[in-house]
Amino acid sequence: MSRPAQLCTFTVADTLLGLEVEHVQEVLRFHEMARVPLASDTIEGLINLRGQIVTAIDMRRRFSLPPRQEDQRPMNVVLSPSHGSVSLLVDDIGDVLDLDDQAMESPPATLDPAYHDLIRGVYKLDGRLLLMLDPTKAIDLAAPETA
Amino acid sequence: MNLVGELVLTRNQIVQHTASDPSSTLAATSQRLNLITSDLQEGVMKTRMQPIRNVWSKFPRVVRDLTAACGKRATLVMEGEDTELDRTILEAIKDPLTHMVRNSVDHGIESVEERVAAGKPAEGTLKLRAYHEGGQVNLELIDDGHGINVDRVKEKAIERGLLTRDKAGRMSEREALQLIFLPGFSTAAKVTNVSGRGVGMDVVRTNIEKIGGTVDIQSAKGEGTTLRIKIPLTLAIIPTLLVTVDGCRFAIPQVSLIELVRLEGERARDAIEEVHGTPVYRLRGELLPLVDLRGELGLRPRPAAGPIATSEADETTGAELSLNIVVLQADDRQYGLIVDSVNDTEEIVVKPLSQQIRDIPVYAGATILGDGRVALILDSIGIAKRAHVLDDQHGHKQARAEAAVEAPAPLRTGDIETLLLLDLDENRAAIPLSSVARLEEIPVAEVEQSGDFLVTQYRDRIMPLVWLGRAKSRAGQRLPDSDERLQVIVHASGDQCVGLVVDRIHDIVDASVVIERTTNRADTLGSAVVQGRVTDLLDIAGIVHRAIPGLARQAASRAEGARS
Repeated sequence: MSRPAQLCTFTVADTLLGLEVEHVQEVLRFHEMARVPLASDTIEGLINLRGQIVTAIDMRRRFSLPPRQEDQRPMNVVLSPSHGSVSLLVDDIGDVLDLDDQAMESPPATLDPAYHDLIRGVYKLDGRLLLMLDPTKAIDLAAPETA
Repeated sequence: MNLVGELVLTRNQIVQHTASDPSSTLAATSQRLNLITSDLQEGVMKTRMQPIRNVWSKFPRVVRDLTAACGKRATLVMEGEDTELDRTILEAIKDPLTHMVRNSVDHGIESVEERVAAGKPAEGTLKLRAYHEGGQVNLELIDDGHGINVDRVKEKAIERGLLTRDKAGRMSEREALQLIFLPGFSTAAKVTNVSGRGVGMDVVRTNIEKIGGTVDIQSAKGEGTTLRIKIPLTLAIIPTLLVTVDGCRFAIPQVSLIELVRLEGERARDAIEEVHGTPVYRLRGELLPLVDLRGELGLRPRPAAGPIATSEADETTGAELSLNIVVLQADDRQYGLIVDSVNDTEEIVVKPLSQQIRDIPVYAGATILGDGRVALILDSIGIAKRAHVLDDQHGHKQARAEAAVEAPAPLRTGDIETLLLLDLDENRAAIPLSSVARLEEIPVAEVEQSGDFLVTQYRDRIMPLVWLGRAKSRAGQRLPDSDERLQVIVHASGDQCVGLVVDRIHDIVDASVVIERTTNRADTLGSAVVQGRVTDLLDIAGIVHRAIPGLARQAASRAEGARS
């Protein structure tokens, strides 16, 4: 039985990533952030989202990638409230894609461990691969971070 | 209640925005909004406020029943019954207060015979007082009983393994009284159905602290005991002071704020003294440990030169140098937090932090400020712990200092001591003369290398040398091959001598030592004012132990060998 899945897609340093739309509350442009000294590097800051305080997690840092260029402002992918008030900072937002979850394969065993833990599977698109993010693991900073 | 909080925040934002553009009718509307919101906030708060009488009303009966059961006589006097408190807070203090009243009757007030024998009126008095003071409510429970027997408290603590006898001897009365808040503590000789199970005061304190309050206890032998609880008026909206550090804004709850000190010009540079590298400030004659918020939060250090330099804002405006110190209370201690600038006060709504950053102890939460930006709320106790102004555990504040002291004659606060004063990296330091065997001058040429240590021959034996202070680094390098002579303090540890090399020996003085623990640094026991200067008291045993770990063991095994 195939089940269609709707994925919200975004890119982080040329990697195409996707999240099931149920996990995403909204997508926002860059917001002013308040730094959190002493917190893990991955936490970029706190955002005021209509009176709610949202913690922004930089996906580049999460994947141990080089930081963005100074003039490149990240976009926010705010996760649904069940994940707590968390936003993922990504480079660019893509389309919402309808995909058949039969087309998903488990990530290759040889995948960089920095990715492996956070990825649920890989979709084969035309000429491109889409990595499906595991939202719970992506925001669980207590899990061992691979350098 | 949360809705009102949100409304207040939104109001703050709108008012701040329209203030920058006063032209439109929007300004007038926002002003009305401002007024209405304030009224609404006040109204909602008022409906939640209830007089403390609601909780107190059952106490006369509690006291009457208890005195009858214990064969005592006491009256309950209540003052300030109309003092109002937030409903949730009233709920929270109900049980702790009841417990405290029972405690006072059972432990505090003596039996009629004892009271008469002590020349007191046969009937004991128990006084409950409540009053407002600076955004807080103070609750006092005063009894005129026999007070808390400090020696007995210590005795019990030792019995239960909460304290070593050694430590107890050095504990001040005030610190000893704090012991009763430890879990599992009870001085009652026998467990009655009234009290004595040892779960009491620990729970009281935990409950009070949970709602942001503090408990303090004072006791005079034979005259009675006073318990003082300080609690905030309300939990939801709290007044804070905003400060800026390295471009970040932080809110400090005014509950923990004591005062602000601003040092300008020359004073900013000169008024800060150092105790072994740790900055302190003399606030009306008392040493106030300073904590630089930038350093503590791992932010960029202040741009200008000097250990603690000027604030950025003042530099850009070209104004005089200045230093802002926010004096904070953490438990029973005070410390100064150095910030770049002090902005304003603002009423804020506390919002919890997300799971990813909840574990950082220096933050109590976050909030949204009037300009719509997020600010973190600083936790005064969390910072104090991080900066080692406070140790991690309540009531064990001296533990570290005492663990380090093994010297034959431990320094005791207030005793007259003969001290050897010396210069150490521009700072004044002192060693109790009792731990000095001799003072020697040793030509540098006589220093030899043995394994990892530099040693010299002293009285036909090999004496290891330990360099104190920054001179330490020199020891590792090659020996200065001049005809210089080293100033050496010979310290005897068992039958083994150790030479402590210092920069300059100053003087020998008799001084009444009042040790103030401003830091928890290793190598020092604390600091005291000697001859009008801040002086570090060196922990010789600790220094020697760290420099030559094998020494103590060696000496012990030699002693063993001699005996067998």
